Amino acid sequence: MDAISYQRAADINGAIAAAQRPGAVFIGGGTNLLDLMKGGITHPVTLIDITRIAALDRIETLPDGGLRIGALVRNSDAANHALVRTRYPLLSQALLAGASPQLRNMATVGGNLMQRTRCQYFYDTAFAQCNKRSPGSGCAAIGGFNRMHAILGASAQCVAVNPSDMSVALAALDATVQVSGPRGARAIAFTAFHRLPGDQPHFDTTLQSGQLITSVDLPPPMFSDHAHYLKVRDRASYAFALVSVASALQLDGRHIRTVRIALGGVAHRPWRASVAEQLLAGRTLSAATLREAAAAELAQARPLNGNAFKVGLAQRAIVRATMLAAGPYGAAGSPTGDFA
Amino acid sequence: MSNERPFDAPCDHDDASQPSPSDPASRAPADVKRRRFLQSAAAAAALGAAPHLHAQNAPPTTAAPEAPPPAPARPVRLEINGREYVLHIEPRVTLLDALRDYAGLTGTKKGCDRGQCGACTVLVEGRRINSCLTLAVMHEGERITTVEGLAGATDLSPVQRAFIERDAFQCGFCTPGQLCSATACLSEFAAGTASAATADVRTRPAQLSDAEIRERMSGNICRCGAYVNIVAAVRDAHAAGA
Amino acid sequence: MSTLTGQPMDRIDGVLKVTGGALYAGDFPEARLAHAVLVTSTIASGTITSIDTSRAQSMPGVLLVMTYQNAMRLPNGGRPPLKPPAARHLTLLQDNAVRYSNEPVAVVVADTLEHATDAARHVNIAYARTPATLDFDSAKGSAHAPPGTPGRPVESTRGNVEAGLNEGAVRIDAVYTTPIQFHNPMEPHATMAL
Repeated sequence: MDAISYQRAADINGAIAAAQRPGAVFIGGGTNLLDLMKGGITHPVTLIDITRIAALDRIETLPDGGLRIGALVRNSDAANHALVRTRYPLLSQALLAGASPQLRNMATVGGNLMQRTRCQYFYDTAFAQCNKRSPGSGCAAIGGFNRMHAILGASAQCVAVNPSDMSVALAALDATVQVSGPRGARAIAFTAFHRLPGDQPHFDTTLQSGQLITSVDLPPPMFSDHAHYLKVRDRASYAFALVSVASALQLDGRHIRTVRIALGGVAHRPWRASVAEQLLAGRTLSAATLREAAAAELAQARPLNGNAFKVGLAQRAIVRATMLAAGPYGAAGSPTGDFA
Repeated sequence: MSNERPFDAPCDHDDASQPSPSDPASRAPADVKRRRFLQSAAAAAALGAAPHLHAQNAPPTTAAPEAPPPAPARPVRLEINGREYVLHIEPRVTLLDALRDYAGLTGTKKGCDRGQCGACTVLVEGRRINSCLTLAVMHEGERITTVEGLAGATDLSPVQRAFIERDAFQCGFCTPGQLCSATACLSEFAAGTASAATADVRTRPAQLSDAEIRERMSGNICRCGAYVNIVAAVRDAHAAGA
Repeated sequence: MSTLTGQPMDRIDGVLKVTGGALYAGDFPEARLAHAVLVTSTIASGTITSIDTSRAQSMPGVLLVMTYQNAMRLPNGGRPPLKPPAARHLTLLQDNAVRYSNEPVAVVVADTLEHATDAARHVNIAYARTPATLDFDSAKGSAHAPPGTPGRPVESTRGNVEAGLNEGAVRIDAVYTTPIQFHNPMEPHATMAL
């Protein structure tokens, strides 16, 4: 790793002030940042350790009945918090599907939002062509080994996917990201937080430099009874998604009152399946209806030479995740168990 | 001939022969304090295969801007296995390298150095983490437990005994990380945590099934394939009330 | 008769291994230990056209930057007396050839691991790249029978496969591929030079 300077921020304002200096970045859990530094992909000059800022390490209810999860709350603590488990089980499931127990203990909620793609061309500096690392240099993944890459929303500059499970659930739950910066505080709708690559793939999020994520806010709970996070991956655990689906429903019998579906592993950001959602709202739930909605959502897919299998897989995963969400909670088994 | 080296190996600050400013060895800033060594004074060199680094045949793409000089080594106080260590380290030293190279506690192993294998698992305030992906300086004031600290004064811990009893290792390289991970796995379950193997996260899992153990230990790999016995060891330790 | 066979036995190194007391290659304590870190190639096939070690050599704590340009010359260029597969061709920094991705091309020795690691990133190497044979399907075309060994035929046949396949009630004709597999023990390679 490069030699670095290190300082601890005692509070939010101190952190933001320290971040104004060139080359200064925040470090929380460090599980992605240090990995990137060891790989020579990112070269911060100063690390601002924000982990001692107590105000950011809380989970508390909001006046509207929602829930505020501080940016420094560790993934495992968020996943296992009583209010998250009982009121937002979709988020708990998604968090528990990610990484390993050790990494979940280290990674913060804010850091999880900021984690970068694991595209192997981005990660290996021996590949000169990476528009995300080096704007204008090209994209080695296009035409290369792109089994893990995007089928939706990609561009000619970048086909990387966002690797976070937590973010897929937060997209489905319509969370809000609270940030603070030199010019004050700002609330960012979750689906506007992560970007599509377009012609600026070096920007992953709409966060501006020097801004600090302070919390992720959830709206009042709506999906405590019918929610399922399905992660399809090469291994049974501790692997990134080929495709994942966060599915949540409000049902009156088989009548779909409200439906939220978000996909992971398929795009540069968590993908709200809004086409499918619109087709399903107010309909009667059935496998056939779900297949029709899933097909409509994936009609816009543009597979690459190595990931055409994801198109059909995503459709089937939408159907299965939603059927599981609709069933009695947990009756059909765990995300890693057998399905009825 | 064997005693002539092109450069003097760096000196411990207790060493009487300080390098002079013109000595090629004294490239570090004026502070020539080095880490403390625990053994004798024979000079040695260790060749490590990890990390491999790529030569740069192009300028760094995200070059660091000109900035204040990076922080030199400074004293960092760590509480490890109930004992205080003051390690003279740069901020970029990971907790893993601090434990192994500076505190002389080589029980914790470096397997991948990138948070993917779990061999470096240690406990910080009783929580299991990958020590390769955190900086030592970030853990001042926190209680760190390594494999060397799992046993009591006279007895192995229940988890250690179960690993021996169930033959839960062969080469043993992953074992320190497995032990720290398993120890925390049991305390996490006792605290009522859920996992990806839990059917209903809204409630406390009823039992620590083998499927739960496998999921909760999935951050520790074992190339010798002792998994079946590791699961059995964790099951036994749990049944014994560990 | 042994009283031990058939009895459950604790491994004699069990206590050492569960207490962190077992010493592996990279664990042996030594005072005044320097650390060496490998610099590895960023191309899969070709030659090194230039190596600039000046920046690395000037970095804090660096004791040595070794490349094929200053490494000791070995007898026979470091090549073993027998040809592969009887003997392995090791990379011993004897020439500027690059035979595979991540082949070691330099060694940086410094007073701490972090100094060696940092300096290794600042060894500047330029390459002339040649096409690498990486794809089985495209290389298959130039497959050839290897030279034989005395007493053992290179090719042999037995039975009548076509007749047997025609007799079967079910005939399956498929191509299965599996990637090459390497045994990667958890313990990284490490060595100590005294």
